[in-house]
Amino acid sequence: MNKAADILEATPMVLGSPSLAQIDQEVAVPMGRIPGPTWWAAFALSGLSMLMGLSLMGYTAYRGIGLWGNNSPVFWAFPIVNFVFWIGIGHAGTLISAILFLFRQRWRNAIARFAEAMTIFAVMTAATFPVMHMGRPWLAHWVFPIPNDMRLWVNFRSPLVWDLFAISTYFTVSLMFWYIGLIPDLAAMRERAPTNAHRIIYSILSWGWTGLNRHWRHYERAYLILAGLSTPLVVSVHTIVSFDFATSVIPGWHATILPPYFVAGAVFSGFAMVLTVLIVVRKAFHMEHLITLRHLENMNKVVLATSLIVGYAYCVELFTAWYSGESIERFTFLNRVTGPYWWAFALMVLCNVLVPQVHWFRKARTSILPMFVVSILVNVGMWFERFVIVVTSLHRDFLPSSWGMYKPTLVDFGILLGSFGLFFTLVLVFVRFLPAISMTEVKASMPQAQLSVHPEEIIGQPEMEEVSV
Amino acid sequence: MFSARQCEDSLLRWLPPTPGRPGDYHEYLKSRWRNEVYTRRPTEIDFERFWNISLHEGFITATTGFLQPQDLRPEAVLEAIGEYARPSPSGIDLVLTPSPRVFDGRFANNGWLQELPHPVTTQVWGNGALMSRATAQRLQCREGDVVRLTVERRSLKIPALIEPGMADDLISIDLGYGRRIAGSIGSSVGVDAGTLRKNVADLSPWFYTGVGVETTGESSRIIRVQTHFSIEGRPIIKEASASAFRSHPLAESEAESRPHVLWSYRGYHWAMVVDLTACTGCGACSLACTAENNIPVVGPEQVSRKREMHWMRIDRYYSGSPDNPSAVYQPILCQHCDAAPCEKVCPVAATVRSPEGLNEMVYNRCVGTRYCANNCPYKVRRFNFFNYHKQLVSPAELVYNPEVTVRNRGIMEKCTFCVQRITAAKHRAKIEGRKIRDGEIQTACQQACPAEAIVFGDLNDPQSRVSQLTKETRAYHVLDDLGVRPSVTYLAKIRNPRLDTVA
Repeated sequence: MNKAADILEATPMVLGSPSLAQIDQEVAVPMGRIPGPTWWAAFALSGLSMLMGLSLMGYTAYRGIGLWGNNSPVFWAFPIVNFVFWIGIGHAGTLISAILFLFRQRWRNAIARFAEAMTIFAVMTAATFPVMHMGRPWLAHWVFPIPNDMRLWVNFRSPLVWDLFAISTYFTVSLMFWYIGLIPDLAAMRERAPTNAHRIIYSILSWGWTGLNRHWRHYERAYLILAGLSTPLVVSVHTIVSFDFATSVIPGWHATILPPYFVAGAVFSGFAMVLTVLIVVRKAFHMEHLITLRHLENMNKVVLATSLIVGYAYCVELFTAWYSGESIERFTFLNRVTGPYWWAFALMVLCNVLVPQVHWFRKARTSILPMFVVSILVNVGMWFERFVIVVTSLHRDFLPSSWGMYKPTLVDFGILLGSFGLFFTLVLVFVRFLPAISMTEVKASMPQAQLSVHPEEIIGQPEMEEVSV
Repeated sequence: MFSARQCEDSLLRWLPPTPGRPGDYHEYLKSRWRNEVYTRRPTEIDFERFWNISLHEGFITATTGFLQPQDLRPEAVLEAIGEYARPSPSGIDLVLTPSPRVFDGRFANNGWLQELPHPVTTQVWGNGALMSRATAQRLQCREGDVVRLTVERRSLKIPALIEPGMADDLISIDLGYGRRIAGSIGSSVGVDAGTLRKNVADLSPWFYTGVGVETTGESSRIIRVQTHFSIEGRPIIKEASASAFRSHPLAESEAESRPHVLWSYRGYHWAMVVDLTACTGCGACSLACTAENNIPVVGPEQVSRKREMHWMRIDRYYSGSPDNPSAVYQPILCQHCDAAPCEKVCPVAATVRSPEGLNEMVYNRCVGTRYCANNCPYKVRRFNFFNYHKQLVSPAELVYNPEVTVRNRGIMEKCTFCVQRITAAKHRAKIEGRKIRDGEIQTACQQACPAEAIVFGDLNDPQSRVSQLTKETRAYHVLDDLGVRPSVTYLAKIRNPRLDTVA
């Protein structure tokens, strides 16, 4: 059993054979000191973007949706594109922390915490959009099935109501999963707390964890159960988000391929976002030996694989439209490729299908600059994928008399930028107050923790011998 | 309203007093009618009754004495036309016409008319130099490019408006625009082509030859509510020539398969029939709807962003060659689908089916997700992107129909089949202990349609006009294959082009 696992993990997951105490020490460094000027600059930039975005949302609530470019027939535009984009970003976190956990992919230990945190922040960012894109956001609670004296009930046939359940479940489970995983680390932080205030906060948050055998047993059980609960959510959430489109009658939306296509796209964009941020974080906090090139390479492989799925989905969509023989359906897809928004389609294909193909080369998968560029481009491409789906399907639907063009306003761009501000502000705060890498899980994946095998046995032996066993 | 004195009353009061003349204008007018008009009554009738009938009908039936018939001199007509037979040096002729909306400009301050799309170009809030595509190509201008027109020494800068089907080498401009002082709405809307006019004895002030045209390099905004004019071969319009229709009634070749009906309506089932053959695209229905249903005027900026609010709109499609196309007009309103896609997607059930087949919009419940509008195949739903009613200064609120809710910002709205009229009729019928009679309810659009192209009634009554018409061979539903089962039935357009009758 262990031998088999070792074969899969021939390259060490932590470089430089640090001691277990060193791991705690290194992970805790960013939390123990006053941030440097780079952090403050990044925080100011993202914080200001966030404030601008929130003010523009407030201004929209005060004046009306008319401040955006939305019109008839494009009743949904930037906010829904942003919503689907951010929900998608979250998916990588759950996949890394839950599915890879269940598959015993122990290389995920070093990045799971960070990816899961990104899930939570991405879902928080995404959740602002369905509320603020309403014409009367102050009545947003009406979409909840709250019993009331008017006996008004929500419309359970509406995919927006399904969305509500899907996303709130996703957020709740992700938050619990993340928090349960944090408890042993929070206890470790409590022990290292520089001041009393730190000690009190970390004490409360770690629920009196003392590392007893019983604690560990409960912890492992809870972690496993929550991983099991999270796993179907990786598939279900974006499936249900895709129902917003798939269950409609609009050509370009009404397609059975949307659920799997959305899920693949979500994992794709999520991994790209994790890469983008991790590449910066591991450099900034000198964690290259904990988040190694091997982690990044594995993620690049996932990016490549999901890019192929997404590219396949694009082809199938076009083929199905042609094969259906339905003239309006055919027109919609022809219009996507050659219509006035052809550039968005071209950008989408370029960024999502063509660019990630460089990851067939090991050199690109293991060099920081190429993978950073690819990850950014994938994020751009996936944003445009949602733009293509939402806007180009709507702008020319059934009756040619109502066809029109959509032009975003500055407010639209401001809110988009603000959503990045919100997300990165949360990320920046997170890396300063909580361990961005799970000390517990990294330590568990180190040779010292593998009790059945003596450490020297693994470290000392060359790869090939193990493969031949 | 404010106990003010009518203008005419003032005039009467300021005139030197004359014995026997009533001081009140109403009495004064009636006494004149009694002396000068009533005397020519064709039948013996009481004056009060004659007066009331005349007021109600808007005209009088008189015996003699008002107009003298005149003889037409054909040679004079030929003489007048002869002036225009001269070849035009620049090759471009100019026609000035009264606007179909603001006429000579007297209605320029009426927001409803400014926002009513031009029946041919669908332009709103302005005018332009209307020209054919070939002419535009020859002049090397695109739509919206400002051209300078010169007639003798008078010149005018106006944006080009390119329309299929215009005669080549002819520019036509609507008059009545570009008024400098027309009020809060009508000032500086469009361009005043009246400045090109000059009255020359025996020549028409509406037609000029040898007009100089040059492009200026500037461009200006032309706002059209519809920008694509082909039906792209979709099942939207059905039309046939009269001879083809006689030999092949549509019902046989294009009979529709009614999808399985999941439920039926007990009581009434409201439905509408729109006859495309009768429709002339005038837009009166749209205006009547605007007046009846408190539909806001949103202004040129909002319309250019495609946010006009008309519940009833006239779609205009061209077919055939762009140089000489045929046009068809199609009034589009909420189709009140039996299987409405909008109803299914609303998370708060703000748009629901009534037991009488109406697709109802519950304004109070709407949170404004706009999902319904996305999912509407007919794009008849209108969203209040801003608060379009907030600039009301008393007594402006009195212009609104008290029977119809004035909608707030952030909510969806659309045609209700004039539900307030249906309700009123139901109240009347209940008091009188009967069912609503066919034709008792007229929707605002139906009432205003001069061609009687719109019929409204109860589909559950097999004798109603609406039931009879839906059984016609011309009857069809727009986008029928979607299976949404609209309650609005269209009657195919039957053309009888001159060729048919000549042949």
